[in-house]
Amino acid sequence: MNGRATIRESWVLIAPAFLFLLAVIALPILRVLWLSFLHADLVGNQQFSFAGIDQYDRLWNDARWLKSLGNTVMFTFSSVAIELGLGLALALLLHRAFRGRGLVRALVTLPWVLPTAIMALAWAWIANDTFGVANDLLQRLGLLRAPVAWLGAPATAMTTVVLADVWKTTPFVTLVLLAGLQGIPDTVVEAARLDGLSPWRRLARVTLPLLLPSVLVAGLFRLIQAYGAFDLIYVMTGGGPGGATETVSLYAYRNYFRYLDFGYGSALAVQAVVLMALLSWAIVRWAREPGEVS
Amino acid sequence: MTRRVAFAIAILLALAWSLGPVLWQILTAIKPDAQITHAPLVYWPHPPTGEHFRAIWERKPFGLYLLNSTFIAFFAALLCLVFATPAAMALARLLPRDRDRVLLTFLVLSLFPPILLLFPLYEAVRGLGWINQPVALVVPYAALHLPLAVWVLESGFRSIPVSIDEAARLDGLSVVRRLVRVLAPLATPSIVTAGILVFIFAWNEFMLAVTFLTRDQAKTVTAGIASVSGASLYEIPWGPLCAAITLATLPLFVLVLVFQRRIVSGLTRGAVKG
Amino acid sequence: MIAPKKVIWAALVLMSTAAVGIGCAPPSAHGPATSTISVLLPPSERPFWQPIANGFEAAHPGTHVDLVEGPQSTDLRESLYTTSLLARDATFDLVYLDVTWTPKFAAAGWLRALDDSFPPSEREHFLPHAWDAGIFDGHLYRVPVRTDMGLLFYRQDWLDSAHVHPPATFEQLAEDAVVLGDPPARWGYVWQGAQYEGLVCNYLEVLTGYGGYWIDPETNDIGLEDPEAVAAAHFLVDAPQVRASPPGVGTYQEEESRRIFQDGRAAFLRNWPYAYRLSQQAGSPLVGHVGVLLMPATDGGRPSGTLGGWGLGVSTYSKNPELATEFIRYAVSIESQRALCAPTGYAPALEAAYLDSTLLAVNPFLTRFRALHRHCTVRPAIARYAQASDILQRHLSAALAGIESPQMALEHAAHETRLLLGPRHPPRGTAG
Repeated sequence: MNGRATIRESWVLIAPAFLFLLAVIALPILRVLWLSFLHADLVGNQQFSFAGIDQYDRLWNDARWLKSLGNTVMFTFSSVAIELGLGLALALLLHRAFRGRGLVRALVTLPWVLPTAIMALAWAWIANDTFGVANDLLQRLGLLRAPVAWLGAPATAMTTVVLADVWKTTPFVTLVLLAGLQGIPDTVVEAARLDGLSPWRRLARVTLPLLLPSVLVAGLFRLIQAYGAFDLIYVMTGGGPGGATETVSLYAYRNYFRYLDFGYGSALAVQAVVLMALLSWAIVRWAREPGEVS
Repeated sequence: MTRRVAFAIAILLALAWSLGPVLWQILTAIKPDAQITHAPLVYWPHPPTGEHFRAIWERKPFGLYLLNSTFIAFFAALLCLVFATPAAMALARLLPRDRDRVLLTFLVLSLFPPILLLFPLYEAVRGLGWINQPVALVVPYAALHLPLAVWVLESGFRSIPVSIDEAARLDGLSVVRRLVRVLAPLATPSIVTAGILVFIFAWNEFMLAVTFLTRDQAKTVTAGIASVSGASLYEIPWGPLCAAITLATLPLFVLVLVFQRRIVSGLTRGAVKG
Repeated sequence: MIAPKKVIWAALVLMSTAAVGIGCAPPSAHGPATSTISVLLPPSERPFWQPIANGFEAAHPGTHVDLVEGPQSTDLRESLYTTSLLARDATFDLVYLDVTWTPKFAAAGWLRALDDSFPPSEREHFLPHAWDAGIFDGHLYRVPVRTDMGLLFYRQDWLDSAHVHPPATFEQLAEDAVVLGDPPARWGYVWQGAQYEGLVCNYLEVLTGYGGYWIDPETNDIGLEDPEAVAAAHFLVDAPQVRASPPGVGTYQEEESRRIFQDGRAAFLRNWPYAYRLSQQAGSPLVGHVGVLLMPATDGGRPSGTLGGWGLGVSTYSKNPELATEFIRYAVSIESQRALCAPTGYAPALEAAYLDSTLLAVNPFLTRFRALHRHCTVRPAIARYAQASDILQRHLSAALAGIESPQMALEHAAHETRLLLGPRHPPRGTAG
């Protein structure tokens, strides 16, 4: 058994998955990439022509794009950060043995299995100033004096959208981290306890480093999903008020399906993907570096 | 004692946060119409009504929608696993040097916002004559979640001690046999986990489902809910809508309840770093 | 030992098993060889189109009309049509078009001109505004089926008991809204201020009332910086500030505002006639208490309501354009108008329907509606309407949210619209 044979056989195993992905996803992506170099604006001119990098040039003069990029970054990082924090807390909580743990775990997963587009509509109503249950409860609890139109001002609208996303997808993070926690041998934590480390230090020095691979999986995939989030925001605010919650994928979608400007819509999408690819690459490099030693 | 109380409070808070909005939808589903948007807010319907459930069940072939969704999500998960399992195994065992690079390539291919793949995928699906066929969703769903499945499975395989399959290799088993007979059974929990994750994502997907399956008989649950309507274009029929959400969620809740032991143990294996 | 072939075989077997499983799809339900035409409809309307389709099939043996039920959301149905037409797809022979889609779809080359079958002489059979909305670049692309317009509904009983006359000017409307309101239990005036198409409809009515204009489709002139436009924006922005409208009005679409009115908590409601219909349904507390008005006006402006409505066009990619056109002809017959509008309360597009005793018996409001419909204000019929509307939506919404002052918002909107539409054209006739 030599190394070269092993490598060959491993590629044979990987190739089907890779080719499948290439056939279904990569070809459409290449199409979008090609369109991004065209003047492809169906309403203006039904003949498409080569545009070089014109579409990418347009980006720099487009204030709406800059704004949407800022919104995307804001939305993505705040929701993923909160989800990781909350997901970790929930995972630590549900990691402990108690009666009815199975049921509680399943109940906590529930938000994740509800259809996003419909729950987004429900969230918009929950945040409504007149009939919204959020305002009613907060007023009953004495936390609020008058009802607030949560989706009516930029800061509160962004916060509400982020909260809805956190509610919806924290269970995904919780599940992944919960699993990671159970993979950590009890003996390791026990040893740290016997060494006299306080609970917080045990968490910081022992548990979290061992949990890093799960955090990486959960964080990366959440980052990607949040970055491309569409239906939640589209339904809750439509990008409003005043464009304060419009994300890049919303803007790209509108260029595509509403303005029929495929060249520019494609350029928006390609640029977003390139940024995210660089970011994921950096994250994986950073996270894997110490792990390579093993 | 105080720690136990604090723990109980924390659990209750977690439940309240997760279930609050769900509960609100269920309450809405059993409220008579006039109480749904009434100020001051009505929390407990008086009297509770089943009319919205009845309306949904009578007006729409909801059972069929549930069946379609189950069928599509199941085969999407299966197809995804068929491709992801061998790849993950190879990555975990055979390619230590290129592993991260390959994993990252898979990740990058999942970066593209799915909403913008809608049109090229539609062209392909139509070219293949798959419009209104479940396969039109099965294939894209399997592909879209392949990277996640590979990542979860790869770490699952990696957590199985190398000595086990090393022994099998010395016994003269071929790669396929090692995979099928030795590694796969050990990794069942992570395979089930990956399958469930893909199943849920497929169950909830919306834009592709609405675009590719337009016939009423072919629709999935999410697309079916999107066609719940009131008497006019502008009206949002909250009662039937919430009843539909409740109906659509029940099967998934049961699924999660049954499989959560496996999900968690599967992800457990998945997360141990090799 | 290493057997890549085996791996490939195993993969193939697995794949084909899966494929067989997937292949067992329910076959598409199509009968024997007939000529079929299909159209995508909102689920709220499909049941009422069934008798029309049946009637058409009976009159044209060997044809089948396929009424596909799309999603309820108008945006989603637009994107379904867009996807299909973009792929030059013959799936839908007919396109059921909102007023605002016509210019864009026609400019994209997706619609057939219908001038031959529906010559200009037929205009007199339809409500003029509804007919004109189907014209782009001098050709008819869409035949109106049902029409709609924004109206101002008010609580007749509240006005009566407060001895207030229905408002004729914006000042009176604002005043009445404050007098009749008792926030937060009762609001004066509810409308749609969310960042979406409805906001533009609301603004356009107020703008017309102040005597301003948005875009002149002939010359590309933009009127958003005129004092009338600024005054109109101020009227909307001030409403929540003086507590005439709820603080959340900037997040409302049709339903949010209608539900407040329906719950008996608002004196005035700007909405579409569906809101009136629901308020007069059996069991509603508002039966007999609701009056209807146009949006008021100041000197120099005119009272109006924004034109909405739906019509049919024929897809360029249809393999059966003649049959599809025949169907349109049938859909705007008086029988079909009766079938669609009697059970739903929709406003027909056919002039004769407003004299039809069956329709008037079920929906006496039609007579009043016909009179009001003369005062429609229309959204500009330009190919890039979607972009222009989004620009205006964003900036009006920004003004409502307090991000920009009304003046600034409109200046930005005007600037961006000018970039979008390019230089202004000379008036028609002088161009070479």
